[in-house]
Amino acid sequence: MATVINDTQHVQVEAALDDRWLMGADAFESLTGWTLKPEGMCRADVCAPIYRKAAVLPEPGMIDLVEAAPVIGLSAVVDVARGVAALGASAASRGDSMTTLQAPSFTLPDMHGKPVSLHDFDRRKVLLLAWSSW
Amino acid sequence: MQEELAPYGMTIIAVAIDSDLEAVQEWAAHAPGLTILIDRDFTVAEQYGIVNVPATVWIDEDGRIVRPADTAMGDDRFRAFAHVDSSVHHAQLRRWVIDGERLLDDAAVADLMEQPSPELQLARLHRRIAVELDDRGDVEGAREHLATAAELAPYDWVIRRGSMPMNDIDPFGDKFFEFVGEWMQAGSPGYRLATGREFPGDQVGTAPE
Repeated sequence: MATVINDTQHVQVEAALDDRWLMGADAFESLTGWTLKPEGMCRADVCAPIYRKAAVLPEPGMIDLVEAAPVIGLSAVVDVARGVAALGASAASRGDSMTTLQAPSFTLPDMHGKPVSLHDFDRRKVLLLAWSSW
Repeated sequence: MQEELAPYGMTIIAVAIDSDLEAVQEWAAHAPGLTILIDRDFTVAEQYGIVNVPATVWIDEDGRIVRPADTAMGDDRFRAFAHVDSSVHHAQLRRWVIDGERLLDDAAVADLMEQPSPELQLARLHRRIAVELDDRGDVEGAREHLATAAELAPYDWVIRRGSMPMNDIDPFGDKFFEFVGEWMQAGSPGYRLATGREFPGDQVGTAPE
């Protein structure tokens, strides 16, 4: 098993790691919500065509995570030697969602480990104060 | 501010952009009663385009961002360095919460959102991997990814300064001031206060000297 860190959690996934990070279509789907179909990567009624088939699908039924991420608006960084990958928004999709001015939802642990969401404060004004010990 | 403005419908959510749980707990002990959350992977910083701390974002009752990430001090401890007057921010906050007055329209807010470059996005992903490896005790692996992140985003304060503790570097020491020097020489990129883009009524806008 390998670990993928996405925007909300750490997920254990089945992956074949050599010089690339390859995942079966099922594992890729449960990780990303996108299904590999003949017309491309599909979610609900949206399909994104795969233009670089040889890179995205280097082996039958296997998806290269780094190459496939941009097809679905994501970026991936992988460390195959250590079995850890990080999957997040691409710069373009992050930029697009920022300009909608819709406050992105998040759920983070408080000091007692209890998950707290922005949505817990719906209908209130929120002053989001980012700080750190550094 | 929380006590004063809560009756008018405002909540402060203090998000620690920090991977060091113990350090956060130490600081949090000074602010009992405040909602303090921990963002170890810096995801909120990424979502809201927060390029340095401390910073504030204003979110209205409809979940809309009405003031984008902006350096805003809770008090004047860092005033001489950051050229930010906390009383100005407090006064503006009161006007928004109590009187419903907005400083910026939607177009101006959208224009001020710090949109990431592809390199910065990749740097943030490398940093997430570093946190995971550091948790596993793989210090070597963590530092490799932090080094790559620093190469990809050499002038991002959250990436550079925020990674100093994991690199065993004092974030208030010589290395930090070296970084500030490099960043200023590069024209203080990615930083509203230093680029002179200020909010109406703010008495800020000069770079640290």
